[in-house]
Amino acid sequence: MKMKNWLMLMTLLTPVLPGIGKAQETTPTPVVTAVSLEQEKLDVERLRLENEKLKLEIEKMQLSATAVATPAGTPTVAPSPTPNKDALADFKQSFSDKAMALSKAHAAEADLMVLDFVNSEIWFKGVRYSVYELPALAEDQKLKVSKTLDERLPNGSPRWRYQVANLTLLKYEARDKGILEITAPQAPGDFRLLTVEGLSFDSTEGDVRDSAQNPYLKYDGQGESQGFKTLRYGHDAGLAFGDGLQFLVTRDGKIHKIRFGTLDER
Amino acid sequence: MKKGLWMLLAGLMALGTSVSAFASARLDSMATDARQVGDIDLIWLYPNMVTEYKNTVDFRLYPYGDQGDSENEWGGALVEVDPDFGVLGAYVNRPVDEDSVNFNLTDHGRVRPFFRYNQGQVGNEPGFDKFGAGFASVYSNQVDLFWGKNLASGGNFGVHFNYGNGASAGTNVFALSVGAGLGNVGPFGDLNVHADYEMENFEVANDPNEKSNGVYTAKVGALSTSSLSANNDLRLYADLQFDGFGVNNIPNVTYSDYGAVVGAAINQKIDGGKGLFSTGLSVNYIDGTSPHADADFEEAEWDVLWNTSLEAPVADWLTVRAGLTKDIIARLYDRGSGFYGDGSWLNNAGNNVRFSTGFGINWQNFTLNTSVEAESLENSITDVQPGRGIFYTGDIVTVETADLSYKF
Repeated sequence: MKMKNWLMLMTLLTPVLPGIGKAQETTPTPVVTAVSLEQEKLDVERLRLENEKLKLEIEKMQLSATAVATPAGTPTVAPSPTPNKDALADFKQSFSDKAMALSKAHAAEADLMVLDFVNSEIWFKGVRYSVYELPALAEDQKLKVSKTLDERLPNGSPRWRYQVANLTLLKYEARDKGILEITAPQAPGDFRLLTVEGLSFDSTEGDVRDSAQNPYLKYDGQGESQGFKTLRYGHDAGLAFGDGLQFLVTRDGKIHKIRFGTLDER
Repeated sequence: MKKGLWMLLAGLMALGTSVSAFASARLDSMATDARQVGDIDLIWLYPNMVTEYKNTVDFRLYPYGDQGDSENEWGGALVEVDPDFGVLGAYVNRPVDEDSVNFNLTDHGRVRPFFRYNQGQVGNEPGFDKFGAGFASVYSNQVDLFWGKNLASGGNFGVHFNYGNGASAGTNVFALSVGAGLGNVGPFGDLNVHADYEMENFEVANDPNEKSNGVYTAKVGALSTSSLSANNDLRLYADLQFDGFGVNNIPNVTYSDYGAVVGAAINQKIDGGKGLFSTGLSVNYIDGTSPHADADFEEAEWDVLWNTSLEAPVADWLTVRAGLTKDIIARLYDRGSGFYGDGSWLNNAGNNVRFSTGFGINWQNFTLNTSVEAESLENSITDVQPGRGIFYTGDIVTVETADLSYKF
């Protein structure tokens, strides 16, 4: 091709070849390219919407605390931002509703306690109690309860240790809350446990990691206590004692004990 | 809560501090006695109770009106090492003459009443330096050690050892106390008993020929708490005390006494145990004898004290307390020199009523208890000046004593 012809060809092609020469900056985009870009924009928008939908699904799953089981050791999903008060109240109410439904469904099982850590409630035979009302539960349900002095505050206020089979409540008389401990059933008369999240003493460490966290109780790390691996969850309450939840897990991944309440209280 | 915190901080900044220490700030603010309402101060009579007040750090601030010098504060900690081993405790710098809130209710004579159930000089010596002898036994408590353990039977047992010494050579104090919780015994609920013996050695002006001879204090006592109903209990207590004080080669400088305190209190829980209302009555008797040449005396005193106390939480973090004590009867009998009369019983009541108040601040496992000078509160009420102590100078109230404790 002669030089003259080559220059003519380039002159003709310049407007339609993006990236070649100065003409690209000043020449309007051809129709074919604009359609393609529009399609890409729509695709991006679709992906964005799908992503938003996925996020909403994840939040919904977290709110309903019905996470799909994953193998033990799977990294915990990062906590979502603290919901506002109304959202938290709605979540707590929905959790309580589930606890009620769960308890009613198992009302005939006289050896089963349903626990709602979000609302600090324990259900027995379909009846709701605060976890700090264990003595009242025992009295109402005709369960054997023992009461011994654990220790005292400097002002003499006693901290009582209430024992109902494998359930123990430590509570200062001068305070509203206390610490509830439930040990895995070992003797006849001990109670089985079911939580709103679906946890029981048959659950594994992986089940706990996957389902114990929710908008109210945030994961607070792992530690060692009484020779057991401890998974900690908590709800901050500012200057007052917050709610804490601990799962004491054996080396083979079984739940040995659950502690709930004002765990920072001594 | 934030508003409350700011109010708290503002209040603390505005509080003045003048001091005269008695017992724990809580008891002071309620004008009562540990035996009547229960308090960590009970470990000084019943060392077995360290098992109940375990895992506590206990700082006593503001003693002797010299707050801020960081020299006379005292305190310690009770730690459960292991349930099988029990509870260990150590306190340092406990004052020798820290009185209870009721100490100055009467114009007592030359004997020293036993109201100071947990603090007091060995031998209860009446201060012979005041009578021309030119000396007094002066010592400081250095360390108090405790050990207590819960027993399989349900009771508990405890031991308390004290060591003190003085500036002069050869002055030292040793004390040993034992206490036991027996549970329910006959008509008495949750019965505790104790026995104590303290002895002091000293030399007079570093003269080995003139030194202490039989300076001791011995005490025995019992305390029971019986439940009257779900919200009421009855506390009964009695303590006997015997004292001796003598010096070799100074035959006239001797003193001895004996006495008893018997009391009862009815307590009612407020709001399921968050607060407390208490009313009590105690009868105190002491008989002291000294054949000192310059000021021999043989005196007997007895009185009846009535008190009522209130402890009420007004918020999660704030507890308000108040109490009133009245010396209903106070009598003194001088059998010896007639220093106080002609050998008949005299009315010994002085400024015989005391109103006390104070507050406690709870922040998680920390507790700051204070007693407030009643006069300063009354002045603030009488002369209301909104903003005083916050926006301009002046105290809202004056704090007399303060304790800081932590449960761990």
